[in-house]
Amino acid sequence: MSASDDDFQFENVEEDDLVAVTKKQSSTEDVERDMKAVSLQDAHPPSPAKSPAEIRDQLAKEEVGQEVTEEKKQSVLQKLQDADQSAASGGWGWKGLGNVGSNLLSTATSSVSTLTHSFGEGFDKFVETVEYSLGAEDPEEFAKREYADVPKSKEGVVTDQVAPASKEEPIATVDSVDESDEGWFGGWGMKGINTVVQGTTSAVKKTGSLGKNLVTGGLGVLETIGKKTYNVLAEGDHGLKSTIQGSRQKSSLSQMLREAKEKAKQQSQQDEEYEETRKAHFGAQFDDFQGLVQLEALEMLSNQCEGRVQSVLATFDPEVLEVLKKELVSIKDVFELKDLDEDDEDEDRDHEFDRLMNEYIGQVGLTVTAERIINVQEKMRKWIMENSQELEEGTHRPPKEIHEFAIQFLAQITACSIEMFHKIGQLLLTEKNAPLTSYKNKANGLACATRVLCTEVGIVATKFSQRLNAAAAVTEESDFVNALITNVYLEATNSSTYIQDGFQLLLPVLQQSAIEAHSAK
Amino acid sequence: MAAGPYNYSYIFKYIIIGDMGVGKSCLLHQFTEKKFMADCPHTIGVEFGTRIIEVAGQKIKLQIWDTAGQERFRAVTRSYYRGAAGALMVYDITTFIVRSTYNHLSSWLTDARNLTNPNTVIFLIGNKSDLEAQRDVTYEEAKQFADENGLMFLECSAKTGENVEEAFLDTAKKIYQNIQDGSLDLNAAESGVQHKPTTPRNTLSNDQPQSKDGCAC
Repeated sequence: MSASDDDFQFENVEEDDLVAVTKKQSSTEDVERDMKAVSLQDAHPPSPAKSPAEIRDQLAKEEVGQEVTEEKKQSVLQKLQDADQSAASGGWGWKGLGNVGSNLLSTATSSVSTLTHSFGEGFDKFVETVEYSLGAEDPEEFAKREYADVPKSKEGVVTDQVAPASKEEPIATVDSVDESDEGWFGGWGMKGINTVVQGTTSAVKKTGSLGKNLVTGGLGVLETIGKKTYNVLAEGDHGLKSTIQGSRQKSSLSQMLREAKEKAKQQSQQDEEYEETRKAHFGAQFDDFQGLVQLEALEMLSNQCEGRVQSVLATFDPEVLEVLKKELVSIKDVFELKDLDEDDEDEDRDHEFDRLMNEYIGQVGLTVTAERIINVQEKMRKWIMENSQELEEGTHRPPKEIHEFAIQFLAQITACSIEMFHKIGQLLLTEKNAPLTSYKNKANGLACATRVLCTEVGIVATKFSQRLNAAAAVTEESDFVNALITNVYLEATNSSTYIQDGFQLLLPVLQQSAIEAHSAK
Repeated sequence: MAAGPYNYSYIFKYIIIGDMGVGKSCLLHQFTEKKFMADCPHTIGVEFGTRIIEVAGQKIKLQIWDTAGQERFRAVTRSYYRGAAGALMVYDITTFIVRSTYNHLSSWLTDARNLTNPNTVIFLIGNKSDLEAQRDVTYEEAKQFADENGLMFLECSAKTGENVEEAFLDTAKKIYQNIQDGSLDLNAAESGVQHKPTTPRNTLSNDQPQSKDGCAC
């Protein structure tokens, strides 16, 4: 709605709420992502340095041979680890987490001897996934895939278990899994554990007793792996410890949670700082009071009128034009505002602000009033009075707060002025039966109102500077306060410029209205 | 006085159009304040509302232009369509004045199509869905009108709030989707979308609104 005080406050509340919600979300998301990243890398780290295809090839070769020597296992894991570490140094969201994966891998090297036995299809797919996920991408895509990823990582683990469950016939195992590709992997692409069970069931049908082993064995080993991982994380071994020490890594879930919390805290701090900055920022405040959008709308209206004025002038009968042109030129003259800069900022005019505004805006002859601006002005005057009383009584507000209020006031009175001009513009265009000669008078009223507004802004800037100086005398922060005073004057000039620009935008609108009044005759 | 960045990534301009009294301002009020405004004064020209929403993890500021429905403002409000990313076209489901709703909707739609860009998402809203007993426009016929014209469509109630969020958010999602699939060019003038606005302006030189040259007479 329009720029009132209440609305402004509401908007802030809205944003605060939003921020709070997002904070919550982001912290849980972070944890989830972190955990997920670990679980992914636990099984198979991403490998941008070594291309996934290469690793796949290597694994494929080893699978074909089905005689994985300890050395080879070591080397594969080493590669994965290396790749992982390089991945950890850059990229999206993985930073830091990668090393946890590699820690786990180095642990895995010694503790899980069958890990590389048959990565098989699962790994293939997985590497693709990881490869994809390393590219910059939007979180929505990530979230969509999140479900798909989880079963895939499980898949990798379960496939690992095939080997121990059927040690006598390793080749057969791999084959049978391959044969059941449709039912087995088809199932994995879907969401949820139900699908996993379904997929498993279909695999069971195809692989017979072997499948049964696979399921029970799979579940058992899942548990074991989980336990082992936990133990490793909890107790740690030398490899893990040294890696942690060497690379200031997250060693446990609780630490990860702590860090996620830290991150969330940082974020909220940033948000607070952001809000803080906005409070004393003229542009942001002007925007919040809808000044910017009012100005934009007024400009659109003005441009439209200007176009029409030009085309009308080009097509009018020269005789009619003679009368009209005289009137239009006299309106334009009013808009020159020649003496604005010489206007003395006489404080005697203080008390006349509302009377003058009412008089001049009344002169425009529309239903628009200056009531809102007058309210803002009164509020501001009151604040300044209270502030000087407070100071006499010995209490004082920090200069920062005075500055904040000064900027907010300037932004609000500017926004209200632009809104008023905009409303006047809109109503001028819908006005019927106003005599052509009345437009010069309207223009005069607007010009005078603009002068009063600019003068008021100047007076206010001076008053706020006085308050700031008074506060500076108490707090002894003169450098800081001087910067604030400069800023108040600067933004007062800005405010004045906006108001004058808003006024100038009304020229084509007045001319267009005058033309319409003239042609209606 | 370092200025922090804005905390949203996009600004979408919406425009709400439709006949007088169909509840445009009430819809906006319900959306921004989550309250029903019983005695809503006539809108003069255009009023504004904002709310920051989130679509696909992106914070988006909706800058909503709520236009006057009164015929006498029609010429004025036409100035404001340009650069709207979304247009909410509102009618009243209880008012089927001499079967003129279609005519009126067609005329609003013509304005929306002619005065915005081809990618502007147009959302048809049947307001006052709480007044089921007085319903005069069936869901089906409105749906058909929407389908024929490629509009998104929902029936809402500014009073109960039913579907109000959905209408505003679905429009934003559609606009966002258009950005994602490249059909809405952010660099094009009048896309109605501003991406990552610059940091709040703080210096005099940046703060000047475009000043207008005087009119040549």
